[in-house]
Amino acid sequence: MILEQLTVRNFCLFRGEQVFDLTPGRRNGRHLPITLFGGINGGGKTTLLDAIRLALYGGRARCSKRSNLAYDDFLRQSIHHGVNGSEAAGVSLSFRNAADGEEHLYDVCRSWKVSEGRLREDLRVLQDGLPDQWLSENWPQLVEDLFPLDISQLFFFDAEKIRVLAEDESSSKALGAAIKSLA
Amino acid sequence: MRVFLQRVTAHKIDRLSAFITESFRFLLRKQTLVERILIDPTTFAITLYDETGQAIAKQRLSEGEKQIFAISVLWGLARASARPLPAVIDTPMARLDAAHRQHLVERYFPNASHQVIIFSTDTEVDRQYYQALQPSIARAYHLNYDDETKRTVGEEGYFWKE
Repeated sequence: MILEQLTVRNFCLFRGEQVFDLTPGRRNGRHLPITLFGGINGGGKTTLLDAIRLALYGGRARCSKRSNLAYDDFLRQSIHHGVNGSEAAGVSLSFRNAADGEEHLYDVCRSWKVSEGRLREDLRVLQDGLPDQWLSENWPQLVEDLFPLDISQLFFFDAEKIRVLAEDESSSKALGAAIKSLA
Repeated sequence: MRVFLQRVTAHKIDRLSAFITESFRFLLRKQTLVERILIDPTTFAITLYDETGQAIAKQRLSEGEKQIFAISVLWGLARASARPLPAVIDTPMARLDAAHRQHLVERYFPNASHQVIIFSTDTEVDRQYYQALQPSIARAYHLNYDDETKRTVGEEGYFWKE
């Protein structure tokens, strides 16, 4: 799996639409794996990590900024302050995945807005650039097959909080899931 | 069939244990602290052993060493996986001493996975470490927060232009 692009729109600190290219590079025949983000504390680093989790997992995502908020409330609060009611907020993630010898590009676009006091969330999934209704409707199950939530936590992590792996025996559940997935 | 499955799992676990042990010894400053790491095949509990074969209580590790241990477990998993996932790492070095920071920068980040996304402050990946990472960086962004408008704008290039 390769993450290609992350787009945030009116999400938390980010006003308007901002696009970040995440694709690894190549220079003089050498593979360049790293995309480096620099920011001060409170500058939006964890917000972008949350955006990746949120795009993939929606209400199941364990976002750092959500704590105990209900999902709807979390989405409401994450709309950039100062956008007017008619504007939507959203996160989109594009990634490439190879399975059974076939590679596909997926775009997972999640957006939400408040209209007449009610929050509406919309999820659109594209495969190889084409909107796919079936994928969009079944995304929660599909993402769990592609990229189980428990395992994602071992790859998308806060390096400080990850210390619990050394302290907490319950985290061995995630580890067990990961070991089983090693095929 | 069940025996076969158990054997496959045992083999995977041995391989994973070896990767985690190697990663931990490679990243840890104290070269002789840990000799071996074993994973229990039923509970998946991880135990550290010193050179004399004595189990080491994880509580005895410092906070920084615990973090290095956890990173070694994740790195071991990525190395043992046939189709590794991208590594996305937030605030990587806040609590680490200079030797551990240097090990992460030189040994772990460029090799953490086929794709590595790092979120850092300017005191973690600083000028010196940026130079060290440069040969592995595809692109860098600065999340520029403006206190007045309370907005962040992402700009190409890290905190400073070379």
